[in-house]
Amino acid sequence: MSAQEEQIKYLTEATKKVKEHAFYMKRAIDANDLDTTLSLAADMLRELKTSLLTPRNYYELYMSVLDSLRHVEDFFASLNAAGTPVVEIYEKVQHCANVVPRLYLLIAVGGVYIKSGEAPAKDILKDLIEMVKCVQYPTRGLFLRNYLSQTSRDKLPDTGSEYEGVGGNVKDAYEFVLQNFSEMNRLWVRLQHMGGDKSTRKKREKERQDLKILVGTNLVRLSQLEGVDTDCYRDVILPEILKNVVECKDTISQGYLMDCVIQVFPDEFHLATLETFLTTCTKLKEKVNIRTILQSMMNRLSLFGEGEGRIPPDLDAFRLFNDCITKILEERSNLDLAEILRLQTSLMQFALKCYPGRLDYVNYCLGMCASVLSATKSESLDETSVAEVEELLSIPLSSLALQVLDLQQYSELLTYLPYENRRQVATILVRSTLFSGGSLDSVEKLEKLFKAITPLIKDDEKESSGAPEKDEADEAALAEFKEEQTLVARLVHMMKSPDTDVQFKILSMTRKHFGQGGVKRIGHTLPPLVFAGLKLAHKVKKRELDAVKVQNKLKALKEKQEKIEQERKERQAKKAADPEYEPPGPLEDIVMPDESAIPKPPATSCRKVFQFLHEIVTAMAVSYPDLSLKLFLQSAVAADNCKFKAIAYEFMSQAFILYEDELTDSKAQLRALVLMVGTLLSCSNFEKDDYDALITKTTQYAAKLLKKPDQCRMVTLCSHLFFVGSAEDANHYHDPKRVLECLQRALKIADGCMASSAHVHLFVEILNHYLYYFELHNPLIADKYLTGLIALINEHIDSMDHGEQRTEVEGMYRNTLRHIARKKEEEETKDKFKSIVV
Amino acid sequence: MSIFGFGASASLNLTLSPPPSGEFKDIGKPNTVSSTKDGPPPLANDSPEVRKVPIYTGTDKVEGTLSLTLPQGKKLDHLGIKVELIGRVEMFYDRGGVHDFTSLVKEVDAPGTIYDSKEYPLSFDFEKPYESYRGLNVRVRYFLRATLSRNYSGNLTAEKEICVQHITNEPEINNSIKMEVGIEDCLHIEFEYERQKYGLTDVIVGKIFFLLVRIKIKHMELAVIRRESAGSGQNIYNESETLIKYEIMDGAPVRGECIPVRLFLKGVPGELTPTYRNVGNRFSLKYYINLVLVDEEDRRYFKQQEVTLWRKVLG
Repeated sequence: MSAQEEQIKYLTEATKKVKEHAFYMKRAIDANDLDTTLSLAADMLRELKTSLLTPRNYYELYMSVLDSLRHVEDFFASLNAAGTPVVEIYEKVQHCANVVPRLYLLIAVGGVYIKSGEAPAKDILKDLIEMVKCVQYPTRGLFLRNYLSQTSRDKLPDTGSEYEGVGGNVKDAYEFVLQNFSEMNRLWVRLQHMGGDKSTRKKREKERQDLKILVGTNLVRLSQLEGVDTDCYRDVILPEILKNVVECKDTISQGYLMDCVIQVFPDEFHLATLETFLTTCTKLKEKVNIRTILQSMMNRLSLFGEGEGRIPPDLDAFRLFNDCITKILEERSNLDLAEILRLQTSLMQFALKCYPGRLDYVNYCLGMCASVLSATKSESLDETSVAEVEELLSIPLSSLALQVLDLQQYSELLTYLPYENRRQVATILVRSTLFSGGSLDSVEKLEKLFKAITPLIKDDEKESSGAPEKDEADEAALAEFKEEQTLVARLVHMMKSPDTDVQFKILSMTRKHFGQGGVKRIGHTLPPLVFAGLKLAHKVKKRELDAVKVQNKLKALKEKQEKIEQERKERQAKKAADPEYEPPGPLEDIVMPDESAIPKPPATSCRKVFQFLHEIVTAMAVSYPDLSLKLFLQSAVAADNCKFKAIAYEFMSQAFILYEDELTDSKAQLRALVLMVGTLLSCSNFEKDDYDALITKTTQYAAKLLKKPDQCRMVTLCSHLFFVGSAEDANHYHDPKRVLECLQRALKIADGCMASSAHVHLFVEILNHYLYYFELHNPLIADKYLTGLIALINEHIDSMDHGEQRTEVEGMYRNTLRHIARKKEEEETKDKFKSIVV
Repeated sequence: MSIFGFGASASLNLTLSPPPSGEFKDIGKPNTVSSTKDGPPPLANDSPEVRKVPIYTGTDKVEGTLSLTLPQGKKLDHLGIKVELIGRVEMFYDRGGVHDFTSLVKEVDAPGTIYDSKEYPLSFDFEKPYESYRGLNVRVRYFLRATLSRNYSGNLTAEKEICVQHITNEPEINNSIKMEVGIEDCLHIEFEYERQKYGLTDVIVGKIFFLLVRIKIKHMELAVIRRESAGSGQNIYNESETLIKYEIMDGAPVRGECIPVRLFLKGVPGELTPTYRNVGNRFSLKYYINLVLVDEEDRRYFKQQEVTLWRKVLG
């Protein structure tokens, strides 16, 4: 039979006997026969004498006995109500020769005795608590005392209770509970030493864990006493509890009871006794996990701090916790590194929650860790320690974000982490920085930040595996890398200094750091920097213009002042020559503005910013031609806006070079060309020769595209480059002949596309362009071309296969013709359009 | 009753007035709970039925009436009527071991002829030195016996039992019992009982203090033992009777533990009597309390202490 089956057998047998005795006992109760009832109750209770059951099963048995014992209690009460003095029953039950049943019965009568008021509650309680000493067998003693605790629960002479007064006061109440607690704890501890060798130790410990609640209940009772106030708790209750905890020298008990104390008593009590509590912590056995105890106390207090309460300012909780931890570190040699780090982490967490402004506390904790880590000789940390350091460094981020960079110890600690973990911390740092929404407005701040997030910015020097290889199968890693880089890139948007000079320094510095990131990173990180640069360029330009304006004003003022000075001198001369001379009127006083109030021109010129941009984009050009081309074009527009013709041209030409050298994909070419045309059209300050060169080149590119329809469309598009603006615009450029050439060329190409029957579509598109120029009065675009083209389309459209393509073309063509028809009717355009034959 | 068919014959009858104490004792009632094996064997000429017997203290007068009943129209010749009061120690182990320590004879009527029923008042004023006692080997009895002597056809007799109990004053000296006992390096205990002398309904209160515990104690009990010691010289018959084994501790205590003792003598089954130091040089009866510790191998460690019992009230 297995041990478990045996247990079930014992329990079933015992329970059956209990039921049997209880049955006859109830009959005796019904017959109002006290003697028989007592004798049968004793028989029933005798089952609780067993030592065969495990605590769990003993509990089952205990519960079923207690169930029936309630009837006995009621019986005693009814006897008392009928006139029997309880003291008689109280004596009679003590005639029972067996100690366990006797004491259960004594407690049962005791409860009735207290209720009857025949004797003061305190005296009865004292007697009971004394008598239960007779059971020294741990399990039986614990359950007996639990029954005592349960029975007396509502009968303690607590403040405000009906038993207060003659029955005693709260002192009697807590002394009773404390004594029961103390004895129960001793029994519980003794269970550990109940014979058996090491092999049964685990089992024993488990059994003890099953019973701990019995001991803990006493603490709950204490916390429920109304009459126990903070003073009483501090002066009597807690010292007594802690005395027991320390003196029992038992690991399980100490750990459990300390935690119990934290959980059951109110926050105010803890605040009043924190020092005592923590001093006790240092006296616990080595194997007790003090960290979890301290942690739960800190959690408790921080929850209190976060809620309605406040930690009183005269209580230096942080110092107390720290002293405690320091002492523990001094005294315990068995703490491993991870555990020490965890302790500091908890303390720091506590500081963060309860003392949000005290960065020095956080820094202190980090410092402690740093010194511990530097003291460990071993080259690399074990895995758990690494995880702890990572945790330690991540925690302050959520509440402090960038402020952590003000903590000297933070970066130092980072260096203890391996690259991979440092990267994790860095990611959290960046995330919380972004989340915090502050601005990165100084070079120093950024320097610190970049130092902290180095693992995101560049590869590890030792290993090359910073950024995953593109062709690597690990897509998750790649995605993670992308996400990280995006985060870093987003940082750029937080770099905002009101001073353009500072901003430029910031960007340059960032550029330097990002530049170290290698090909894979710059694709993510540099573009936002370019846009930040473009924004800056505009600002600088505005500042420069403002400065020029102010200077001009100043110059005018100075001239005026000089004139007046001259006049004054002349007048003085005249006055000297002719004392009779009367000046024609008073002279104006010119007040020159205060030097310091004059806005200074930026130290970094706009030109320099563009140089900076040029350098960045060039750096990316080889690896990211497509992207760089766009950025060049963007920069060109910006430069053109700032009226830097040469620079704009340079950017354009860089873009063209890229197009020629790097863009091989025909689709990319097409896209680039569209952008180039667009850029050229939105620039307005090119020198005419430069412009000529650029548009000619563009048109050539268009004509050299691979696919005919692309060629056709792009050439058509390029025609617009030759017909820009109206006469009064700065970028006025009209070359009607080139326009016509382009269109005719396009028609020719379209004609060559007949095989793919895309030609009709192209024809209609070209027709639209013709129409456009015709309306704009391009002198070379004559009505005959339109008429001819329409005839051509009419001819080809009929031979088209029916299908989607044809429907589409027909739709477009129909709309075009409708437009022409409308123009023919409108008053202003009637004459011009009437010659077009549809 | 006469067997010769002369009809109803004369009879003697003893009737006792209620005793000064007004107390009676049930005799012959079996013990409800007995810790001994079979209970004491019935003594010779002990009537089995339950009867109420008046209780007298040592100095109480015993009063009553002797009535002689004669059938109507009969006469009775006799050689005298006497009533004896006898105090007697009976030794069970020794057949015929009957020793009267008190014998008082009263002549209530001189020899002659009696024609009518008649009553004689009785009054005995005498010292009753011992308590009535019913033990295992010994008993102490007091009884009245009336005898009407005749020449022939035998004597007429009647007997009546009385019970004597002595009430003692609270002893003036009553020290506690305190003692340290132990087995070297194994077990050291100190026990203390509040008093040495107890009334029959008192409570034995004490405590056991554990100074050293190296054995695995299973439980501890307090036994009440009655020792009857009869005879003298070579023919001493000792009989010990454990009246109760009262468990006072369950499990093993640790050093420094102090276990309370509280034993209600009222709850001890088997009738307790006072301690009898010496009853007519015939026997003595002593009580002991025995503290027993039982270890896990069922070895017993014990220490016995005599306690003196005394009677506070009759009953």
